[in-house]
Amino acid sequence: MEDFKRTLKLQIIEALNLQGMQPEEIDDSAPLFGEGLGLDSIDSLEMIVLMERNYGIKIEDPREGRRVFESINMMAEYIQTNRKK
Amino acid sequence: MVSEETMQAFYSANMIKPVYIRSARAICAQDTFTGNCLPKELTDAVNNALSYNHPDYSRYFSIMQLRRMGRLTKTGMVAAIECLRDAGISHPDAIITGTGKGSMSDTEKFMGNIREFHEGTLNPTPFIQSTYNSLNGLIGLHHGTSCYNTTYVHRGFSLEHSLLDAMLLFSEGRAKNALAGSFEEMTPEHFIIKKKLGYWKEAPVSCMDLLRSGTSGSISGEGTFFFLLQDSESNAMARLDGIRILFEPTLQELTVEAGRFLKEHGLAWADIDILLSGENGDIRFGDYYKTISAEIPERAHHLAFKHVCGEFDTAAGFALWQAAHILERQEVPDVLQLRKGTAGNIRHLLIYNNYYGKQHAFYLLGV
Amino acid sequence: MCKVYVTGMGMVSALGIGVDTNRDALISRRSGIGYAKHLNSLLRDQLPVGEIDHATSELFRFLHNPGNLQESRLVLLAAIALQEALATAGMPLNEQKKAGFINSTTVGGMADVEYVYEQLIDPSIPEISADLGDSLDCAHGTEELARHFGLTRFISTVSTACSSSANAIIYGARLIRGGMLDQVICGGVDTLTRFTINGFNSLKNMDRNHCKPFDANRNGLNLGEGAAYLVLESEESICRTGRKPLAQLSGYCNFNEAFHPTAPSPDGDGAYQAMKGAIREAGLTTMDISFINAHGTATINNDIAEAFALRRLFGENIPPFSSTKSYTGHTLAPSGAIEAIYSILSILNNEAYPVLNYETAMPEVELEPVTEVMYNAGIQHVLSNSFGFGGNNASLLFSKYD
Repeated sequence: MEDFKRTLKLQIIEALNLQGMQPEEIDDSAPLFGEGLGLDSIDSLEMIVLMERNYGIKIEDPREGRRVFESINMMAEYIQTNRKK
Repeated sequence: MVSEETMQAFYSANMIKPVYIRSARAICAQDTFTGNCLPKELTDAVNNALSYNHPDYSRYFSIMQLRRMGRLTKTGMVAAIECLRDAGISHPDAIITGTGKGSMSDTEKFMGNIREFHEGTLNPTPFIQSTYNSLNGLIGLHHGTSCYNTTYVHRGFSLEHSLLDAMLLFSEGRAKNALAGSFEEMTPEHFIIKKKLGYWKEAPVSCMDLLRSGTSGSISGEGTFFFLLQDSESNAMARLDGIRILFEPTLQELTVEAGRFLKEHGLAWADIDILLSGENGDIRFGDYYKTISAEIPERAHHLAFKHVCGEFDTAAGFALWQAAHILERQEVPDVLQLRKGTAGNIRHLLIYNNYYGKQHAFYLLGV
Repeated sequence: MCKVYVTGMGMVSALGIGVDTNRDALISRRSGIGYAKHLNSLLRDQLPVGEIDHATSELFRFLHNPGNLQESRLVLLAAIALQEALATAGMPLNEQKKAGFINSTTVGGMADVEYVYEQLIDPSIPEISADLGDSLDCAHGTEELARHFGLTRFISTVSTACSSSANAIIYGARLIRGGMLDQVICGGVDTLTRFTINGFNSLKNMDRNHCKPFDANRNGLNLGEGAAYLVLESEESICRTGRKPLAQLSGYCNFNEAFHPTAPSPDGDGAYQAMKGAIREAGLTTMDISFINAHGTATINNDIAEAFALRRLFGENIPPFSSTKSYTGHTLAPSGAIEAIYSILSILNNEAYPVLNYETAMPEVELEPVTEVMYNAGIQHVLSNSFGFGGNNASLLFSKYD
């Protein structure tokens, strides 16, 4: 699971073009949006693309995306349960 | 021959008052950014393209801020930030931009994604950034400035309308200052399209040979320019007396309108100390420039600029940036000289530019 | 400052060709939204749009003089609307040659280019037509139209996303008031494109059903296409020509809100400032406003922000309002000019057009838009809103001429 979280962080860094950021800088339990990493609604749409391309998970409603993307822990768990690839 | 009196005026700008350029910033192929002046060492074109000399953006933005910035967003943001800093203004009364093509790299990226992913789930960022007014919005966001804000997208008239709009705002008393500017980029894909349409020279040419090449086509350039305009004279670099735009004029209309433009500002050709003109080395449009340069007096300097910045929709931005510095410093860069005159005291400077013979523009500046 | 009048108007939308056809559809509550037949996109069976019911090649027959106009959907839609605008103004050719032309568009000739783009950038295909190669920008169409109609004196193209033509109209009015021009033709045009439909789809703010402006259960916008132009004239020009104005453009305001690249602030500050500015410009008060053609795209963010702005500006006395995007879809650049014409139609006919598909009030602000056609509605002053990406907000105010 720790390895998977690291992979996920690298994918987020690439998808959101966070040039120069290291996976260690993203806290597993800290909120990704608002306080914490500081992502916004456009990042949420970019992460929906990431979920579909990398894990075959389709999220139609951006509001649902925001719930899934609450933190790295939350996201990793959701992917493990729902992944299609 | 139609006389000047009977030929109808294109339009009147009598009611528009002169405005002042407080600060001017340029990012282009030459390192005009570091010292805010033309560098001694000039970069030459590579395969008929002059590409951006980028500043160090990490000095300006955090990782989080940079994540959604395309190359044109970065040049635009940094030029705007420094222009406002030079003027000591953090919240301008208006933000007005002009661009012929906007962020083409984002437009092309989104078109490519549509093809690659068969109209499936796509990344929204290139779509958002392809919007012509996205830079305007981001400048406003960065400076926390909610104000009048618009974007003109008409090739060789884009910057001109952004400046005219600012001049109107001052005349209306709606603003005391305005951040106005232009941004343009060239991409490999768009270079190919324009190559097929004959915009560039067939064989590679050096910048210093561009203006005497005697063939059709020019070299491609890129540039981002921002100006802080204000309605008062205090601490100004130069005065912008007026702008005149003409769409596809005949040679006769061109000279008559230019003369009328000067007359409206109480001047005659004999008063011009510098003509800064947009010769791009394409012989198809040489006559326009010859016609105008034939009008200026012997003592006037005749300068060109596109061998330094390349040709693009809003290349006039380079001329305006250069003109503001010439008037402020009262120095004429040798590398721009087409014909050296004797004028020492530079009081009136005329910019004449056209973009591939279609959009023609005159700018009258003074001190 | 001199007054600015509207003396001509012309338009094309999913409701049909011409101002009268559009009004007929509005009063008979007939929506133009449906699945596209001409748009070449894989999404056309999933996302309903407001498409104009003619293939591009068929559009030539609506022009009295097609001349050498390019077979471009953008150019032809705009030409049909311009032809009508100039005809209703009854403007002779010698006056057209003195008029300014301020066009607007968000993606220019994209619809003509996107299907052949790979050929354009393929170096092994050396020859391409100048019409196609140059039409991937916003100015190409403007220049084609300017040459065709002789409107070459003073031309420009504005692009501020969804508020583009509202800003074109504002610029035109200011050029008149600044004494630079007597007559200006202003408006905008956009066609449905694969680029745009995929763009809005990537933002996940498009409804898979007919859009429901100001409804609690709204779920996004429907895109549309169209063109619309107004002929604006100075007071002096009206006196000289004796032309009877259709309405007065009494106020306008552009206010950019620095909040977010694509979303309005939740309290609708940009919308509030734009509406307030337009009313102030006209020397009126909020009590004078008879009707509001809202931006009302039916996206979750826009409608609530606009509703909060209405509440804040008008308090308990919000005038009747609706959104005609439930008929035409969101046509992007021309939407401001299209809705300006609907606002003028409201004034001329003393009637107000309702919103379609509305059922339930938004719980956050209990506001009810107009849901039935209002006749004898006492319409004097109509506010028309256009809000766009990048926080670009514009409001126009039209007043009855008497």
